[in-house]
Amino acid sequence: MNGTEIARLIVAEATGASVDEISAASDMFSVAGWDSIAHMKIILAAEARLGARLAPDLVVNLTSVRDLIGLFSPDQPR
Amino acid sequence: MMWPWRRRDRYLSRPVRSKRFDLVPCGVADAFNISWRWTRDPEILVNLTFDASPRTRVGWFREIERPDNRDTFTHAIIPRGGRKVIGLHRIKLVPYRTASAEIAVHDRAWWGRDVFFETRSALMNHFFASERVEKFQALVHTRNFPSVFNYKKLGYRCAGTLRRARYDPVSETRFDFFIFEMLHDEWEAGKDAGK
Repeated sequence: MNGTEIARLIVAEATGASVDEISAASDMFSVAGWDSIAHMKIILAAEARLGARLAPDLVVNLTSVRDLIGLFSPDQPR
Repeated sequence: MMWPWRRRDRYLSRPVRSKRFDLVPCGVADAFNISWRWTRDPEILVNLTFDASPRTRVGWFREIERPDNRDTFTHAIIPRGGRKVIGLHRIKLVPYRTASAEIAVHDRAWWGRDVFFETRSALMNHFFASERVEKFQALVHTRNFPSVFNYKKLGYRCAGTLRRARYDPVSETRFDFFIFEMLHDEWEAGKDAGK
């Protein structure tokens, strides 16, 4: 799986949506099930995938699937 | 006798209503009695005070922000039509015209049900109508992801990070905090934009 697929899968599982409903353009404002609990699940799932805690500046700026995809690109500092 | 400079703020100390909740200003005794249960709830205690150490009643009384309804306000969050308090919302006015705010919902049945959005929005509308308030701000533990989400979604701006600002002797953990803030005109602009 590439970064985009991983990010879409993480958001879909946390929000209860299907993967097909989640695109790179989806964000916390556009996905109905993206609430505070889902947000926590998304960050924890991303950290589990990465095997590391996210730095605070990454946590605070994570609001969209695109931000999540960025985490899985090889040159992304954590 | 009530000293003139200790009088409550007649406008700010009014009860506030939102769609689902009555937000009722508390006195010191109510604020203490409602929050005392949090000392036996490590999850709430750590997120609120960043220190899970056991508290005595006297120690907790000294520690909490005791509402005077002039500069410090504690609103009990009560679902409309009921009497059960599900949490507290606290606001302390600090220089310059800033409302420092925090919320704790101890009734887990209400978690994930937008209590933050509704109560904070109602109180921001109420407090921003006063000349005494031009900004809301809050400190949020950087690992408290639900709260980070709530502030971002409500439109608060992260003004920075306080690094290693507190230490919990129980878990031997140092905590970082985000500083979230929103100015009055930003709040009004967000409402106009339909957020």
